[in-house]
Amino acid sequence: MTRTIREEQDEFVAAYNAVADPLLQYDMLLSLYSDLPRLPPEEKTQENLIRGCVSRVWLACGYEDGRVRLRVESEALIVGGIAGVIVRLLDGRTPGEILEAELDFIRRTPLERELSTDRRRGMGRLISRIRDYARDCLRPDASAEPRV
Amino acid sequence: MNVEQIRRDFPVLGQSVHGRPLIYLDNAASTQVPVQVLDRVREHYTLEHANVYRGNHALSQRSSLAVERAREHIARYLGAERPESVVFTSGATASINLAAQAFVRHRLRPGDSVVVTELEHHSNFIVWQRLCLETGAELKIVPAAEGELDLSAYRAMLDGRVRLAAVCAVSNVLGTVDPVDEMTALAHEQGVPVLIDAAQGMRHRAWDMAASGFDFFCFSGHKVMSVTGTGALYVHPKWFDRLTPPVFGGGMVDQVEADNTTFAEMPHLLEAGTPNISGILALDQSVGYLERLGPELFRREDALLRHLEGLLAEIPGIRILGRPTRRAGAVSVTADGLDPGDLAMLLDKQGVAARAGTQCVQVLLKRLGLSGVLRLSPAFYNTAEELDAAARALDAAVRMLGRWRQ
Repeated sequence: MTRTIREEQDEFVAAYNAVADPLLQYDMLLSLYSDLPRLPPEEKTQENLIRGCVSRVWLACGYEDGRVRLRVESEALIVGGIAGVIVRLLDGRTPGEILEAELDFIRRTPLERELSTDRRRGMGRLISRIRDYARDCLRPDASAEPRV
Repeated sequence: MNVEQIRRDFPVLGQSVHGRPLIYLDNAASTQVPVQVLDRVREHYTLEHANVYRGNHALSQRSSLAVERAREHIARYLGAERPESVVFTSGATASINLAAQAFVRHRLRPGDSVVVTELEHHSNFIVWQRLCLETGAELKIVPAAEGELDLSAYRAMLDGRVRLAAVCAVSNVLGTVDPVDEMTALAHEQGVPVLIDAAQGMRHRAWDMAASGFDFFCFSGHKVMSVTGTGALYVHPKWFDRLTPPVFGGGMVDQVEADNTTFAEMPHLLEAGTPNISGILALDQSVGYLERLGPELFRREDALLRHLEGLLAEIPGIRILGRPTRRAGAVSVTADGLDPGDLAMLLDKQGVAARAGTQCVQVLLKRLGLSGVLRLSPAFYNTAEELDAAARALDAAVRMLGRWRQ
């Protein structure tokens, strides 16, 4: 049975907080990010850029068989790791699941203290962009793939 | 200099961060505050606090006297001829904006110009840019290839239409020590007044306003071991009669009628409202602290920065930005393919406080093709051992990120 976003998020939070060495916590994020596929150059567009991030973050969204597909790439690796967690939690979910989900892993880990205001804001915008896309998918006239 | 004793004056330095001893290398952003300054603030509120200047009671007179003694002291420290030249502000940003609105705005006409450099912090860049846009004047920008100002270009920009040259004493990114005395002399040959932004440069050399002839000079308290929200603007007495107050309120008036108001003289002309009394007294105390350290302050900070530069030069993958003739206060680096924010976060995990980003100098960074840099800025209370540890931490961060780089 597919696990819920809450279950997967709780698992990540437990695993992250269980890492005793602060440096290895970041290593975990970097490892997560390294497993994600990179965006092809043609998808690193101005339209896919998440505004407000000091280092550039691109998000590509798609909608297939009733599920939202997400891919992300970041110039900064730690931000990429955090964005990677977000994408891993929400990729392949239905729009309804995405809109109902509360993403609070930053607040529940040391990341809350460690992320600069700019980076926290940038991740907030990433999540908002995904939610907006999911909302668009549920529009009655969303017969074609929603625009990102 | 007894650094161990000095470090005891700064209890914040003794803490641990992520289980590691704090190594505070973000002094170009804000310095730490010694107990002597904190004690003065507490003393003020415990024994003498009242609003200043217009009270006829003991506490008000005590506070007023303390503020004016602070002004006299800071004026002496700056080598100003008159204490009235020292206007208390909330810092360099407020000081520069004040000079712009009180003096330069009324002198700018279409076709005039203001000269700045590409090393300027946004506080000493945007205000002039906006003023020029609003008045039809031109903003001229002195280039700084390799981090050194092009003095020939600067000289060529100085003509009869330049209404001000605004220059930082020290670059907050590259640490470049600008030849502000020479630049002031060149400007004065053409009748151009000069504003020196010493937010970074204040504690890196002795200053003498009378000898240097600066027209305006400013600094921030929170970069000279005082509390935030404090600073001062020095105004040369020859400009006292050419100032138009941009902020109105109590304390800066002489006579107020229903249809007109006459204004107080300097410095109160530019100090509307209740001043930041405790902040001013803190600033006074911090200036006294630096004064007691004497020239050893400059020598020690210079030695620490050179030691840091040497360490950084040995870290594989790290590139030091700029090659100025003289550097003070800060050094910035990049690492190929690595984000400065990532480096800063990994340094933080190892107890090292450094700053990553544009450092409020976007014009310079864009010219260098950079979106951000990592800046390390020691102060006299840091030690060579701390710098050694910071360099090891940076090396570890570069190696760790390098393993995961795409």
